[in-house]
Amino acid sequence: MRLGSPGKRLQFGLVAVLVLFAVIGGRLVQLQGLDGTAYASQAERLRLRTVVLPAQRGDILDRDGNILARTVAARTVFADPTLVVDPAATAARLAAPLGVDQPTLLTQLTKPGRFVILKRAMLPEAAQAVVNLKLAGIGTQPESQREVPGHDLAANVIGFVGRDGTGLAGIESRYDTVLRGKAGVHDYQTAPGGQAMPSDLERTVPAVPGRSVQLTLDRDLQFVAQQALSERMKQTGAYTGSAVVLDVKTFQVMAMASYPTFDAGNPAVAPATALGNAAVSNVVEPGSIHKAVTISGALQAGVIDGNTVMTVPPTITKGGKTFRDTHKHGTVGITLMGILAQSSNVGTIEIADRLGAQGVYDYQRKFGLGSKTGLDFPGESPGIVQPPSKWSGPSYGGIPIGLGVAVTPLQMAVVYATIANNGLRLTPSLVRGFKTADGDFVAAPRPKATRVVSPEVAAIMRTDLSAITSKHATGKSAAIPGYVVAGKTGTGQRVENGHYTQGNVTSFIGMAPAANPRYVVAVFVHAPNGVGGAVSGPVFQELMGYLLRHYRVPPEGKAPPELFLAAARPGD
Amino acid sequence: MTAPARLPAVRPRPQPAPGGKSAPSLRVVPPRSLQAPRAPFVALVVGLLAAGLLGLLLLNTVIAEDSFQLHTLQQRGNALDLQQQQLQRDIDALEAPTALAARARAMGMVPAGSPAFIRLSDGKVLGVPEPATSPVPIRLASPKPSAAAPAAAARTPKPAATAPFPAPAPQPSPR
Repeated sequence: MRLGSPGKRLQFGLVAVLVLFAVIGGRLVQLQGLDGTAYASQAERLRLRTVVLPAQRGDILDRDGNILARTVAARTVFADPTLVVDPAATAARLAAPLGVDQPTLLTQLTKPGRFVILKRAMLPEAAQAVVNLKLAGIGTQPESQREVPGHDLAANVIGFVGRDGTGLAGIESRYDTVLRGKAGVHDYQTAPGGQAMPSDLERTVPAVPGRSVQLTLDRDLQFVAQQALSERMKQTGAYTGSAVVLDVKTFQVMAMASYPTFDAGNPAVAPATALGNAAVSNVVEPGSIHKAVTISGALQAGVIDGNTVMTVPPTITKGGKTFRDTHKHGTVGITLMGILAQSSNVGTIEIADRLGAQGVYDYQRKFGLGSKTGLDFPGESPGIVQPPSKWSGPSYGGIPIGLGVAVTPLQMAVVYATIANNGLRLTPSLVRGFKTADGDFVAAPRPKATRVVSPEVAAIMRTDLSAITSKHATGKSAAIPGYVVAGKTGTGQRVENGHYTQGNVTSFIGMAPAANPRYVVAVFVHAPNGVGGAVSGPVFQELMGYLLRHYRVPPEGKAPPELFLAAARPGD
Repeated sequence: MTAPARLPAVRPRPQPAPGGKSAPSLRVVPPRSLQAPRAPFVALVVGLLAAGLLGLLLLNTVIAEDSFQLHTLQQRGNALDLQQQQLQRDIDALEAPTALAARARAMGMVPAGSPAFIRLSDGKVLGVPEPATSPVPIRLASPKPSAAAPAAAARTPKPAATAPFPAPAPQPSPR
């Protein structure tokens, strides 16, 4: 073919150009139309960075807003062993600033892989010092760390968080969704060098910081409670113990101590037995402190009254089991005050006989035994009370005096707080409310109230319980000079895995000032030996004494009532 | 139709006139040159371009500068945050009840005894005031740290000479 002719040449050129354009057009359709979105998103991915903005976890505060737990910025120091030039020299230089010994560091630095954590949770300043050493292959990355400035202060209530910042126990776990907040994101375009480029694709969804949880605990009181409890525990060689302080008008938990305890900032090193909250999850046999339930119930049911004098023989036998009193006596007349002050088993069993098994059970349930208190704490136990259909012969003697009953220390504190609050039982609470980062405060719901006994019965009980610290009674060690204390000692046992454990669960629960109580303090100590008054009384005394001083509660200016043991009251 | 009428006008080639007599010759006046002087126009375009480019450059510079400033300020903010956190941590540690109690004890303080209350209405004294007593005898002379420090200081230089086995290599102090 001759291409010389211009017409042919033009035609050929036209065809060539058309083919070329067809190819280009086809490719265009392929790229833009068919694979378009994929390429576009690929390109976007190359430029677009998404950064998760972690939400700051809320604080845990005490009732006055003091910090009990907070989240702080920290750094993890890591190594890329493939980039470390001289592991031995690097280990030597890092040992001091990291506080990790040299051989450990050396093994870490010579591990295979490209990411080895050398030290977690370093303070930012300390981590900066490491960065300033400019060691090859060593870097830091930010993390957040839960800090508990009080260490073991209220640790068993606060609980702890896992490494990823999720609450695993206590308040941290129960209110995790409140504390956690909501993470945000920041999308932006980057230049190849990594700098942010302003663009319309930039998008920021700010993180919503978690809300703070304000507890009802008083930091100082909590400290005194833990101090007094742990000192007594050490003196008596006790196994576990707990102390609860309730405000009588609100049933707010002012202090809740548990022993053994742990450092909430470093729970990893604590034994598992120290992590729980003994006041709500330890189930114990109440012993004599349960007598208040039996006697209040009998008073409310009308089978006895405030002036009743029981004729009490030395022993009483139920279902083949003989119950006797600690104080040896013949057949004597004992007032209710005498029965409570001297903790007469026989007298209480006689009263229970009048009330009947169903009555005892009903009042146990009305006082809140056998069901969770509503504190809403993880791991809370409901305890066990048996309905009359399940009572065996000895139960008729044991249950009225608190044997064969399983309760938590908090449940018993609620029983006594009900008597202190004129017979009105409220749901105990540990949380006052929630605070947003802006400082808005939302109060926790008001506690639910249940009438258990009448104000008159409660008043009789308070009077009859107030001989407990007199010289013939079982709770002398709990006396507070100048004040009248109404309370009760108890000695029971602890059942674990269906068997009684060694030692006694000794307890003292009391309220002061007796005529118009402000606080209830319950102390439970599981000690190898000893009884309620001797072991737990001193803790009560120290704690209640501190409470009254701290909150400036004036004494009533009256002497403790005289103990009427065998005689009738004046005027009878 | 206007086209045929205009056609002769755009065809300047004159038709030979019928007859010998020459008609008055009609001639299209050459259109007045529409071309404005070239130079100002070019200057305007170049000027606009230059201004646009310059503006763009300025805008970019300002944005870049702002982002640098943003970066610097953010860094400063972070540093201040850290400092605030550090100071808050110090405060927390100092005001924790445990620390307060320990320091009070070191200063020779003891828990208060039971106070008495004076009722203003009748001037009656309620309660049994008791002086505070120390559960353990207090050594007012020196709290532990200062007593231990000189002893430790006196001992440290010596062991190198008397130690039966080589003393551990001195740890580099952190600061």
